[in-house]
Amino acid sequence: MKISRVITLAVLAALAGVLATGALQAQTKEPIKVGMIQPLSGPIAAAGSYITNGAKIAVERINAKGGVLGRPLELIIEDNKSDPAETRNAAEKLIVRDKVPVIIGAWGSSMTLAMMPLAAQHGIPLVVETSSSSKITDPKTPGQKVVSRISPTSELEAVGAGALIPSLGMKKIGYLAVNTDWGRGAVTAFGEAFKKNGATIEAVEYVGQADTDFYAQLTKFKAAGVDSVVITDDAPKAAKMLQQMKELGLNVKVLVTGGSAWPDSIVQLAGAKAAEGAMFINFYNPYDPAMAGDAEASKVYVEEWKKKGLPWIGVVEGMRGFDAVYVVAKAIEMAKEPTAPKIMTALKTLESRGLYGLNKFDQNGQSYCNIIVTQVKDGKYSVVAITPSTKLWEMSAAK
Amino acid sequence: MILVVVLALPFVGVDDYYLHLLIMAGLFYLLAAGMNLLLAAGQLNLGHTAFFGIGAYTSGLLAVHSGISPLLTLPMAAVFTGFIGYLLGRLTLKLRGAYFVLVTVGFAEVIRLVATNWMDLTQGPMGLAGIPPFNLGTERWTLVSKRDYYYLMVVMAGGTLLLTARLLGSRVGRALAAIQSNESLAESSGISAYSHTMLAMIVSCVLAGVAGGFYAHYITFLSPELFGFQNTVTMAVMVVAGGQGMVLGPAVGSLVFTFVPEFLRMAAFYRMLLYGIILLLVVMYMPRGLVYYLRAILGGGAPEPAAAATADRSFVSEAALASGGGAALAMREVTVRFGGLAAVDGLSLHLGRGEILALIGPNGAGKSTAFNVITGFQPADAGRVEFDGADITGLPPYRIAERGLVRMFQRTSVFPEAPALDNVLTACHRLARTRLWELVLTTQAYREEERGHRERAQGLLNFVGLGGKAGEPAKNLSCGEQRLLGLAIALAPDPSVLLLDEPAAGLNAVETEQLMRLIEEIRGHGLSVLLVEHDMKLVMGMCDRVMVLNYGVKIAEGTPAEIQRHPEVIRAYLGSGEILADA
Amino acid sequence: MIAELVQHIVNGLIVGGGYALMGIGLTLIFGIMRVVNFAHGEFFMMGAFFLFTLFSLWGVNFFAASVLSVLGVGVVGAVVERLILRRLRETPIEIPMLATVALSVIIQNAAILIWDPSPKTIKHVFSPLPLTLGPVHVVSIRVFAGLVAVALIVGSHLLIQKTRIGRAMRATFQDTDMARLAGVDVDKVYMFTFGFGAALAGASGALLGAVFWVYPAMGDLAALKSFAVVIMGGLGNFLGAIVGGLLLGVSESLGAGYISSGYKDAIGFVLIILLLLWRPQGLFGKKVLPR
Repeated sequence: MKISRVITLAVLAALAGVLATGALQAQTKEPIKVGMIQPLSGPIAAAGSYITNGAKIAVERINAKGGVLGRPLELIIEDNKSDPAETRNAAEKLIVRDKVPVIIGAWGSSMTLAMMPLAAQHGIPLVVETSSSSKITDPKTPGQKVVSRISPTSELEAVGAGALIPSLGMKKIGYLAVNTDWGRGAVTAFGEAFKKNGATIEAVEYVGQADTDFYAQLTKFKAAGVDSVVITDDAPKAAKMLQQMKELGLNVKVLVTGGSAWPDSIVQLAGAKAAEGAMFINFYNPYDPAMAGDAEASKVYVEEWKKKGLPWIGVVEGMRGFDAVYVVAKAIEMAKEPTAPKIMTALKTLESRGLYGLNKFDQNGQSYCNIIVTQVKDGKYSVVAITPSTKLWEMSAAK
Repeated sequence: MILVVVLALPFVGVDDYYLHLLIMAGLFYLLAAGMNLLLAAGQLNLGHTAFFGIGAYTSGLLAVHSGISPLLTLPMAAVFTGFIGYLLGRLTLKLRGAYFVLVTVGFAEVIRLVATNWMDLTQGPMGLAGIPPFNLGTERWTLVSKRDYYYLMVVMAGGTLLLTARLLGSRVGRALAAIQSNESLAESSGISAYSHTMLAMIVSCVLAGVAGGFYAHYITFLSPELFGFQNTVTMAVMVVAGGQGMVLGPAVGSLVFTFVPEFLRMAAFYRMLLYGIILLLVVMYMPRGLVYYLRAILGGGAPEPAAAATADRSFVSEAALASGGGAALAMREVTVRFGGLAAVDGLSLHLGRGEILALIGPNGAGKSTAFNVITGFQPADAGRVEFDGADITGLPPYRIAERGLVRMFQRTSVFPEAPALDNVLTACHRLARTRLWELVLTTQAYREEERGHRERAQGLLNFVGLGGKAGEPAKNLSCGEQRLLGLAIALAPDPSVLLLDEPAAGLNAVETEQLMRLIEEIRGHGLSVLLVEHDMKLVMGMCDRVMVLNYGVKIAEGTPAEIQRHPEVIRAYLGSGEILADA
Repeated sequence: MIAELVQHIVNGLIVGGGYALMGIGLTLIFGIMRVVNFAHGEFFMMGAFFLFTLFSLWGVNFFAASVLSVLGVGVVGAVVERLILRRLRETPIEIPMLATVALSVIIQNAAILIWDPSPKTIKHVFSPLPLTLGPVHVVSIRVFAGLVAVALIVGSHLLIQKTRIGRAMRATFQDTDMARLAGVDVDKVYMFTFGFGAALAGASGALLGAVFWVYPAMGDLAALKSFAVVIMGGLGNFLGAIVGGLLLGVSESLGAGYISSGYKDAIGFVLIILLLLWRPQGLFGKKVLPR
């Protein structure tokens, strides 16, 4: 009873204290605040931590060079627990309490979609770094007008990889995708791209976000006699899928889309043997700075990543945060003052060379990044083909 | 006072962020209050978020596809959600405790996967965007500002508070608590566990549907994450840590546990770890919930003044007076088998009006099984049970009690947590004539009925000699007092036939004397009594007839004097090592 | 066709062995202590992380590391019982349940802070090449995992049936008060039971962590599956947990193979709902009559 009394009082005191500090929080003029919402707990915490680390590297580099408009950037990172309602809470806090003029986020499409109406209501620009759903940049979606997206949609991925498809020799395809907006969207986009090239999709199987065992789906593919498997999922699951294909004696061509799995992560997670020959669609090559839009930035980013001892497999995801911060910094620079409407206007005409390629935004707020097809060859990273972001911009201009 | 503060909040510098959190707290309050209602009956629905999601999707989809105003789709969603709750209830409410918990977890998981995979309906994981906000059909009458939504939520949360306060503070709340505390006793007092838990289930699902509909038109975007287990855990935390079973528990819980995680945003990467630690500390050191301890600290919660212990120890027994002639209770050729063994084998029994019949026999003779068959707790494999000339075989216990056949249990004859008066009041349930809506609106008729029942309960306590202990929780009473309270509980539903299962067990000689006098007096009111008893002084001293069972078969029947001389009875008792001679 | 069917069943049985191991731990804890352990998935995760730390980071021998990891989880379980659950023994069922919910939040987020959330693999000592038995393929690590699961199940059975502590556990399961009167140290039984149940979850996690991969939220799905297993088998029923685990493994494998993989995780619960229509007390549960 005594302890419970102490705790009750402590809880009450804490509540009162926080309310008071919240009300008294003085607005220091110095740093420019940038909001960032990522999943930092829950099943996809790994991706969120890579991206926040990438963003931190960018902020450190910018601040080391004197910041933006002579003021340092301050990243305010909020956790959304990979939940749309939590994302909304975090966005409310960033907009109302921290008064950030711009938000980077929020990894998954459903989380981004959940905060878009609110951002639109307050006129806060959103820089979307990962989400792939085409809905986000669809003018019919409420809040689309505040979105500037640097990550590609699945459709864009399919277009970028499209030229390569005939040469892959994939005829009878089993499609294995994570049962989220990302996986579902990719199945539609790549399904069409493959069909256009005369391939047939023999079976589409969805897997849960936390699944680890894919024997059932792969056994089905084997029975259907597929000659290739297309995967849309994150690196750990793609690695296990590859491994389990070998275990079941399903030795076929593999293409992994989505940009989060790449040769090094799969070699590390599945072993070189299982990974051998698998192909990936990536948006960033950490080995060849020249392939990025800004070679210098790419070099610094990779060096910093290594220096901080961050997990190497996360380097291709971390760049999403890095680029998002640079886009925001550039926009503030152009806007001349860190206010939401000015930043929003600046984003419309901004051009920023970054790790994704050339970041600028079409009338729907979509940017076109590099699409790089990579492969594990002799257990090593190798590049098969690249469609540079500049080419995609030209293609879209021609249309 | 509180109302003024609540209404004034948006005007005294509470910014949109806090208003948003207050709205979310209100939303979770609707959910937690519903969960609390069902938990009052001891059923924890850990699939509650499924109903939240169903309500949200129903209202969202209707509004998107039909263009109907959210003001109409929200009630439609609430009704539909209530209907789904009814269906799930039919399937699962017979389950108890951990089974119910785990099955509801599973239900939510199934619904989540349906919402994820049924693309044509829900757009699956792509999410449902572009849901209209609350409006009256025109742009001008559309709710936009936080303040508008806040007031709408205040209305909803206030309504929920009133509704749940009325339900929990009335005979429905007593019935739910009784079901949690001692379901068999509740059933045998004429309370249907099924229909009360179902009522709680439907109300809680309707509330969840309302919360879901509100969420859909407030956030304007839905995705299957709504059905995630984390959401239900949040609700459960709010109910249990806030104070389960208490009207204000979920309200305080939802406020605290909406704001705490938001405050913890200061802790950055340690946020969820700290949240877990705070939760654990609250559970460990305040297991009764915040409200309970807040009340203790704020000095409130003075004990209710006990009802006046009048000297009036009378009670009315209309049922017994109203019944006609013939046998009160009869068993005809009843057989019950457990596996291959017949616990009761072709047993016939006849209890006349105003008669006291004792059923005796060694342990395992089938006495308790016979009681369970009569009162509906155990189905008969053959034969029938008749009460007042009507066949009652296979009726559920509460239906049998409703007809006026009530039993007192051997071991668990009280509701241990509740005060003595509430124990008896709870058992008056079957006498209630007012309807649910009268109860919710607290009409004059309802208030009078409550007062009447309170008087009856006090009278019965006086009758058994516990008039002065009305406010005492039953578990604090002595063993003998608990038996007497059990007798008062059994009399509360106004039975015409009373079944007593070893009423004198654990009583001392003085108490047994008192009990015998009471049973005599009860018979004097016209009731018939069937009792199982080992205390031979009681059996031989006051029963009109005695019936002896052994191995499920009747071996003798007659007056006490005849039985004491019966050779087979003596053999049976000697065989089992029990002695008949102390009578 | 037949080959595919056999492959599905073999896959299901091996996964089901892991489910059974999880289920036994959960069902023992519930049967004896009346605690629904929502931190079960976190014990599973801990087993995997301990093995990863000992074997992959510190270079301890794989088999020694496995044993140490399982024991380690057992000790954590016993400590949790002693410090937290013992205080809540007389409270209604939701209270200890909520405490385990809080515990699972704490453990999972502590793991994020300690090991960072990125996925880890345990590069075990087994060959990655499949053993081919006619048309059916199995890898040796899975065979190893399956055999260890069987050994642990049999071992647990013997422990409960043949040892003193097992006898005490059975007595407590039957009637706690009677056991106490008969001289059983109920506190010790509770502590041992929770530690033992946690260790079984940890063993399952270490095995499956080696087969799959290791990350802080890996216990969420495993816990959900073990709930399904114990309801199917009847809460507190040892045999039921084994049958439930294997049944769930095989039916998921067949369901995902022949019906729809999107609904794979729902199959167990749909089975349960069907089962409960027929037997409300689970496959092996008993009805209780009032007295």
